[in-house]
Amino acid sequence: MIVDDPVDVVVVGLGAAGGTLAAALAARGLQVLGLEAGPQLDPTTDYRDDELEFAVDRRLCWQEPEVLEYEGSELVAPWLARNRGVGGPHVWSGFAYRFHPSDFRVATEVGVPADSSVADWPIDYDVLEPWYEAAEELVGVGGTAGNHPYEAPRRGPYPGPPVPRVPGALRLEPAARALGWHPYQPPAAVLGAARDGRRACSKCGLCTNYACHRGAKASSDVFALPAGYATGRLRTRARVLVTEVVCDPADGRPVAVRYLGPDGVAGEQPARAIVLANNATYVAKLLLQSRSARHPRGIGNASDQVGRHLTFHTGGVAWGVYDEQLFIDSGPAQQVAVDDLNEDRPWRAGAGFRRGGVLHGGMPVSFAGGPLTFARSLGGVAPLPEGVPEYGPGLMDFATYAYTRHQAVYVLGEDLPQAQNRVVLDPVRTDSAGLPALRMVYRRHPEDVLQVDHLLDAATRLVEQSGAHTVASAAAPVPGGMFAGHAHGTTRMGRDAATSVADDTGLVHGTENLFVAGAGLFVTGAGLNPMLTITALALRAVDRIAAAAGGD
Amino acid sequence: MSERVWSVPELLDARHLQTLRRLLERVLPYPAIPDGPTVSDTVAYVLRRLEHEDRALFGPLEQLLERTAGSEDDWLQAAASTPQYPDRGVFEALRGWAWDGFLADPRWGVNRGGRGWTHLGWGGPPRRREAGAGEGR
Ligand SMILES: Cc1cc2nc3c(=O)[nH]c(=O)nc-3n(C[C@H](O)[C@H](O)[C@H](O)COP(=O)(O)OP(=O)(O)OC[C@H]3O[C@@H](n4cnc5c(N)ncnc54)[C@H](O)[C@@H]3O)c2cc1C
Repeated sequence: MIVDDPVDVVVVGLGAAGGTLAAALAARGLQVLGLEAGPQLDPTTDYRDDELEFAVDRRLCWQEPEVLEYEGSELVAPWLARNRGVGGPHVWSGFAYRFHPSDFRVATEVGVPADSSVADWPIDYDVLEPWYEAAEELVGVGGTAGNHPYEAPRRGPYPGPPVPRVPGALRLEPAARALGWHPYQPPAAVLGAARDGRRACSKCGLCTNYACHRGAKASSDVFALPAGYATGRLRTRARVLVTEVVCDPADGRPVAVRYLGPDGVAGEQPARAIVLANNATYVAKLLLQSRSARHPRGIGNASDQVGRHLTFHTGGVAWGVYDEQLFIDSGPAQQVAVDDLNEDRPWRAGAGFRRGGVLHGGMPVSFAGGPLTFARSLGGVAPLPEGVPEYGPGLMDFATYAYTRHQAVYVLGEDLPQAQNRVVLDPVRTDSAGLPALRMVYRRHPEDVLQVDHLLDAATRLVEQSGAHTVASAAAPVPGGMFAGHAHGTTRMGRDAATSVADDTGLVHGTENLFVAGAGLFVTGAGLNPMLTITALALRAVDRIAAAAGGD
Repeated sequence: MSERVWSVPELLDARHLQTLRRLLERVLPYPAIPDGPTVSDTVAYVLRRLEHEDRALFGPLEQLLERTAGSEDDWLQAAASTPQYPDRGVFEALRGWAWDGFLADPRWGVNRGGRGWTHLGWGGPPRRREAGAGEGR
C-alpha cells in the first residue's frame, strides 16, 4: 500500500461542501488535498447537450446499486441522484434558499410529533445568517429580496439579479394570487448577469442532469476551487474512492484515510485534520465502514447515531396542458414558488400535519431538458392524464401536442425525522468497489402522508387555476427528494453525544480532528432545497477545522 | 458507448428481430416524416444498447421475443394495462427505446435529420444553436 506524504487537511468529496471547504482552508494557509471519487470533468465530453447521455443515462451521476427498504419492501436501484466529479455539484438545478428561522427550531415551534425524532438545531438562524450572506456571495445567488412575506430575514439585496422568466411563470403567478397565495421567483444559483468570469444564463434549459457550459449555474469548480488552486496550497485528485478513516490503534485518534486510487491500487493519506464531505448518506456509510478495535461500530458511532434520522423530502408533481404554447423547456427552473403552505402554516390553519413544504412551478414535467426527457417521462415521473393511452398512436399524438404546451408544479415537503429511518451497510450486497452497498431504511411518518396529499392537492389546484385544460398529478412513489439529491440527517449535529454525531461545526463527537460536512448535519430537513445551507455551514466550519489542523 | 463485449445480433435470430420490430412499431408508431426517423434505425439502436448500457435487459427481452411472436398486440395490451405485470419493465424499456429512436440525438444513429425534434416543436440542442450551429425557435 502506498502511504502518501502527510497534509494538513484531507477533504473527502469535492462537491458543494468539500469544494467550498478545500478552497477556504487553503486560503487559510493550510496544505489541503481534496480526494474525489468521480472524474475531473472534461468540457469536450462532459459539457455536451445530449439528452440521451445526460438525462436518460445520467452520465454525470453515480450509478451504484443502493438498497431501499421502503415501507417494508426491498428495492434495489441506483436510487439517489448524486453528483460526481471534481468541483460539484454539476447536475443540480440551482435552487438556492436560506432556510426559515423556524426550520432551526421545529420542536420549539410545533412540539415533537409521536414516533418522530424532531429536535431543535443547536444553532439558530441568526447564528447562520452571516454565513448565508457569505455563501450567497461566493456562489453568486440571484434573486429579488423582499418578494414574499415568508422570506428569511436578510440584511441586503441578493448578490445578483434573478434569472430570466419563461411564459409559463406568467400564467402561474396570477393563478397563485387568485388562490390567495403569495407567489415569488425563487433565488437561483444561476447567474442572471455575468460575474467573476462566469457568463450569464442563456436559457438553454439544460440545468438538471447537465454541467453548465457557461459556468452560469454554480458548481464549486467555478465558485471556489480556482481561488484555492491560486494559493498553491490546494491539490485535488480525481477517481480516488476513500474507503475508510484510519485510526491510531493506540489511542483511536483518526490519522489518515485509506483509498482506492484510479488504478485500483490502495493508498493511505495521512492528515492532521480529516473532513468527510462525500454527501450525507455516503458520509454515514464511510463512518460505518471505518471499524477498528477502538471503534467497533464505526468511528463516531459509539452511541449508535450514525445514519439515523434520515430524511429526504416528500415529493409529487401536478402538470397541465394548455391551449397555447409555453415553450417551458427554455429556462432555468427558478420561475415561481409558493411558500404559503410551508413551515407550520397549514397546521396553524387546522391541517393534520405540522410541517409543510414549497411548491415550485414553471418547469417541464421532466424538470429540465428537451423533448426526449419529456417523452420518456410520460407514464413514469409524469402521470398520464385520463384518457391518454400508455402506448400507441394516441401516446405519440399526445406527446406531440403537449410538449410545447405543458408545464408542471412540483411539491417539495419537509419529512419528519425518525430514529429508525437510517442508513446502514447492506449485509449482503456490495457496491462496485466490493464494499457493502448502501442500505436505506425508510418509513413515512403518518404526518408526511397527510402533508404530501395536501401539497399535491394545492399543486393541482394551481395548475387548474392557471388555465390548463388537461391536468394529472401523482405523489412520488418513493420519497421524492431522492430524485433531487436531497438526503439529510445521517450525521446529525447536536450538543449531546448520546443523540447526535457531531457538534455544530461538524466535529465528530469524541474526536479532535475528524469533521463531517453536508446535509447529514441537518437536524430537520426544512421544506426547502439544501445546498445553500450546506455551503453556509461549511463556511462557518472553516475556523474550527483550521484550528484542528494547526492553522491560524 | 462503452467497450463492445458481445454480439447481440448473433444471439437473436430473424424471427426475434421481426418480433422486436413489430413491438416497436406498435408501442410508438412513428408518423410518416420524409427522411425522418425509421423503425429500422431504432431496431439497430436497440441492438447496440443491448450490447452496452442495457445489457441487463437482454435476457428478459429475449424471453419475451420468444413468447410473443405473433401475439404482440395481446402482450402490449396486457403489459400496458397492468402496472404490476411481470413484464412491465420490458414494456417500459421498449417504450423508452422507441422514444429514443424518435427523439435522441441523431449522432446515435436515430432520429434522422433531427426531424423528430422538429415534429415536437424543438429547434434542436440549444447549446449548439447558441454556438451558431443551427436555427433557433
Ligand atoms: C439532480 C439534482 C438536482 C438538485 N437540485 C438542487 C437544487 O436545486 N437546490 C439544492 O439546494 N440542492 C439540489 N440538489 C442537491 C445538492 O446537489 C446536494 O444537496 C449537494 O450537492 C450536497 O452537497 P455535498 O457537498 O454534501 O455533496 P455533493 O455535492 O454530492 O458532493 C459529494 C462528492 O463526494 C464524492 N464522493 C462520494 N463518495 C466518495 C468517496 N468515498 N471518496 C471520495 N469522494 C466521494 C462524490 O463523487 C461527490 O462529488 C440537487 C441534486 C441533484 C442530484
